[in-house]
Amino acid sequence: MHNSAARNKPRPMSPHLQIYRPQLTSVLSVLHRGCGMGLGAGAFAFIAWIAALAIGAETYSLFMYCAKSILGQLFLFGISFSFFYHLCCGIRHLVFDACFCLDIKTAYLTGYAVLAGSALMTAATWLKAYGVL
Amino acid sequence: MKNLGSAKSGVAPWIALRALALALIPSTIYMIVGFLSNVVGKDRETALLWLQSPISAAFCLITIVAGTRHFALGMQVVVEDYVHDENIRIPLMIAIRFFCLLMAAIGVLSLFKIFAGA
Repeated sequence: MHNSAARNKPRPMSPHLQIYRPQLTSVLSVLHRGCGMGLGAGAFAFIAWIAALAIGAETYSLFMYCAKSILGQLFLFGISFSFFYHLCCGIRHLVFDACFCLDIKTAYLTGYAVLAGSALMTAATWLKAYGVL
Repeated sequence: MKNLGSAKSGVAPWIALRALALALIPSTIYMIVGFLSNVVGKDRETALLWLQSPISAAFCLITIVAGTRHFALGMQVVVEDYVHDENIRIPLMIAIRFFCLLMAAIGVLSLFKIFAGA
């Protein structure tokens, strides 16, 4: 069929997300990108902290008021997990880029290690921040 | 699709994204632990003193400069993957790069002011 109607019909595109069963490796990869994008907001908060420090005591107390609110603490907690996840998964991707650990069994093993590692590092950082550790 | 062949300049940003990632490993760990500790429980004077030490200031400078560049390069990959309309993609990339440049400039100038003992 070479009529124009058949040619204008949109071609199917991979990877068919509607019928694609998510597995650990693909979910971790998507999460890596998502966390990387979220860390843009984290960078904004970090720069805002340094700028507030430099501007003066009043601006700094306004920043601290926002950071210490429940919403601010939730945001910072999310950012810290995003950071440690992006860090661990980023190292895993650097190892992949160097052509190591590419077999499925090791990819799953490092995948679970990344999840456990980032959860532990997030918990340790907050325990240290609150002076428990 | 313009069928013009490869742009022959894609490898440098690919390597830069990963080289910056390596540089960011030690400095960002140091900064996020210090940042959260300061934000949670310390006053302004303690935070200023912490950033006035050359070690913290150096890690902070690397975090700001390499971090914003790494973010710009990473966002470029995402935008190029998912935004196919050139009328959106090109202004979006310019906006992201401008936002990163602005964040880096504010961060570096603020850090210099703190480091010089404001």
